[in-house]
This record gives sequence, structure tokens and C-alpha cells, in this order.
Amino acid sequence: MSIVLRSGKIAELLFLSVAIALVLYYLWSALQGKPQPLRHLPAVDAISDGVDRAVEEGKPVYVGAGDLAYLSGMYAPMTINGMNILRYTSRLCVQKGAKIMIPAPYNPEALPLIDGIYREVCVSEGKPEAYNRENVRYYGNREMSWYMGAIQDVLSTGCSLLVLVGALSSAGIYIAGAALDDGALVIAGTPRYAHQASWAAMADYPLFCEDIYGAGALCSGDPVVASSQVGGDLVKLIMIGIAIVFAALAVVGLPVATKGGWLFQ
Amino acid sequence: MEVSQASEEPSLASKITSKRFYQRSIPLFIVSVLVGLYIADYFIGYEGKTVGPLTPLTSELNTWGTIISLFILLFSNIILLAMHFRTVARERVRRKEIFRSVSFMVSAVFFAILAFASGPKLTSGPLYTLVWTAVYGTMGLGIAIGHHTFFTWHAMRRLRGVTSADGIALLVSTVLSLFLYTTAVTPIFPQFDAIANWIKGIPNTAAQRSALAAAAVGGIILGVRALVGREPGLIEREM
Repeated sequence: MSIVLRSGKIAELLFLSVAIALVLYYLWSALQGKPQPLRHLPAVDAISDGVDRAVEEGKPVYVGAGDLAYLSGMYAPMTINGMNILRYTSRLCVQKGAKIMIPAPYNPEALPLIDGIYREVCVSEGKPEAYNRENVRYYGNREMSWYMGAIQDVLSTGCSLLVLVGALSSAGIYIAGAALDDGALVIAGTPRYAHQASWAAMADYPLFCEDIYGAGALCSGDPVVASSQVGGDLVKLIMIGIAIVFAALAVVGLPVATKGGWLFQ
Repeated sequence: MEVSQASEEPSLASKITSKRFYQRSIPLFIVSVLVGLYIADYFIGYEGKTVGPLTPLTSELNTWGTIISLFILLFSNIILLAMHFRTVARERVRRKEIFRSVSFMVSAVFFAILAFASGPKLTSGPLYTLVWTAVYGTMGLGIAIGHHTFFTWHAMRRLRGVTSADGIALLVSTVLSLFLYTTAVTPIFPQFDAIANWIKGIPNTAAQRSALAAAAVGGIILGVRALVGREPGLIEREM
């Protein structure tokens, strides 16, 4: 049996190769000392303001990577970016002296990691006493128990800032509702497209789809990570160009997206 | 000066035994190799077959991935129990925290006993399923309905403050979509059906697909960083 390229994968391989080449180029540029700047995201800037507000009000900051923050499957990239934002927010809280509460996801597989990030931030900021294990909250492994527990915590402690960015289901909107009732600032978003409208309605600073990856890169503070995002922007521009050109070609009758057409070679 | 520089250089043994090496460098290397393997398996196959030369390897890796995930889950659950046990064992703890921790541990023990009492099927056994459905199913349904009302109320309150163009577009789309599912409005004004279905089918589908594509690009970027070992990782960055 001879080894060949799988049938119908040529277009995908071409696209992936271009995407990898662009991302690698920007990674290489960053490693050569030419990092690409990312523009400011208002949602990320608002985190610092929200933490200041929490210090003034004496109420805690709730921050999490989402109720679906799993380390495997399609939610893993969302979780990783959510963790970068969690680290950034935690650091600001520890620096400025705000109390932090971290709702852990349903599936507790990421809980040791969340706990580790929180502890590391406290130690690295020279305030190991700021770490309190009980501030990492676990509400059970079902959606309903999760939002019941989260709402109960928000109602009992109050909330000045809610930062919920990562892999979110509809459960997040309930904690956002409780936080909004308490006058909190809500910064939230997920790449899960079915939940975009929820956060458009419920967040003061919503993050949509790939905004989460941009926010994660900004919060990581790593120029290499930020530069690779710029490569991704070029990939998206190419995708838009391809979509327009191929749509025009399909309209004139060329076999672009038909069965066995150019895109499915 | 040279002497002090040489003494600051860590030895090979200390590099290998450092937390940074075994908690970051080794896992990143493993991830990098695995990403390469899975990409290769996706594109390379035997002629006329659905499997490829790497398929047995990726299949085996998937099994090991599941096994390791289960260990991580077990580890996480042990940490959870330990956290609650420590809370109860500490002297100065608020009553509320003790109540929470005791409830957690009692529930864990109760459901563990229930699973073993349900026969060889454990959590799929009839007794466990009955109690779980009666306790969680009934309560969960009531909670879910209550919270849907809660969310709808909040969403409507938030829409009061809509002033931007995209907010107004969202509000109009929401109202039209709501009309689509109402038995009172659509029969009287059948044109809502066409308008709302057009919104669902054309701009909504286009936005969903572009959102999915943009999110996929984010995944590719992460994969490329992992492939070349430049993903910074999540732990051991601070110390």
C-alpha cells in the first residue's frame, strides 16, 4: 500500500500551510527582537479600572476561565486564553489588595491548575499571605449546581468586578445577572458562537469570538504570543479575500464549492 | 568576574531536576511532537483506505489521553476532598464554610455508597439512576425554569440602554425572532415568519460561520505555537 495525501485534503493542506507559514514568520520576527504590537482592547483596559473600583468598594473580584474550562477537546484553546486573563486579573488584584474569588469549572480537571496560577501570582508578587485556598470555589459538576453556587456566592459576598472569559456556557449569564444586580462591572466573552448574543446583552465589556485570543495574548504579556496573533489576522484577511473571490467565481458558474469542486480537492 | 559568571551558570543536573524542566520543557516537547503527529495523520493515508500509517499510533495515543485525563480528574477530586477536609479540620473557620465542606463530603460519601449499592453498573445502576433523577432531575428542572426567567428579565433590562447601531440591530433581530416563535403574532402577521427566517438563515448563519472560522484561526495559532515549542504554558511562569 502506498502512502498518499488523503482524498479531498489538498485545499485544506494548502490553507494550513499558508496559515502556519504566516504565524511562524511573525513568531520568528518576535524572536529576532521585532515583536508586533497589539492594539489596546477596551475590555482588557477595563480590568485594571474594575480592580481599583473593587478596592474602593471593598467587594471582591470574581474571575474565571469559564464553567466549561476543560483542558481537552475544543474548549482547551479557550481555556488557555482564559487562564492568561485569570492570571493577569489575579496579579492586579494581589498588587492592589482586592479580594479575589475564582469560580472553578464543572469538570474539576483544571482546578489544580487554577489553584496553582493563583498561588504562583501571590508568591511572585511577594504576598503569599494573599493566597486563600477557599477563594477557589467549586460548585459541582452540573450546570445548574454551578450557577446556583455562583449566584449564592455573589449574593453573599457582593461583587464589584466580574471577569468571565474563556469557555462559557449559558450558566455564566446567571452569575453575570447577579453581579449586575450588585452594581458590578462585567467583562465577559467566549469564542463559542452560540453564546455571543448572551454576552452582548449581559456584559458591560463583551469580548466576541477571537477577541478572547487577542485579550489572552495581551494579558500574557509575552511578545511572542502577541506577534503570533498578528499572523492570525493576516490569515483572516486571506480568508475574507478567498471568500469574496470564490463567491464571485461560484456566481459565474465555476466549480468552486460544489461536490468535488476546488475547495474539496 | 568570569569566575562569578561561571558559578551562576546552572549545572546540567540542576537543569534536569529543576521544576521548570519537568513541569514545562518536557510537557511542551511532548505536546509539540503530538501536534505534529496528529496533523500528519490528518493529511496522510494509504491509497484507497480511510486509515493511514499513523492511525494506529494516534488511536493508541487517544486511549492514553483518556487514561491520563481520568487520572487528572481523580487527582482533582482528591484535591477537592482534601480542601474541604482541611476546612473542617481548621480551628478558625466560619460556620458557613464548615457547613459547605461537610455538605460536600457527606454528599460525596452518600453517592459513592449509592453507586456501590446499585450493583455492578454503579452510577448507571437502577437505584443510583432513580435517586439521581428524583433529587437532581426534579430540582434541576425547577431551577432551570426559574433561571431562564431570571435571565430573560435581565436581558430585557439591559436592552433598555441600547443606543449603539449594533445594539439596535441586535434588539430588532431579537424582537423579530421572538415573534417567530409566538403563536399569537405570527398567524396574525405572517410576514414576520419570512423576515425572522431570513434573519436566521442569512445574516445569522453568515455571522456564525465567520465566528467559527475566526475561532478556528485562534486554534491554529495556538497549535503552531505548541508545534514549535513557543507556547508559554500556564504554570511556572512566575517563579
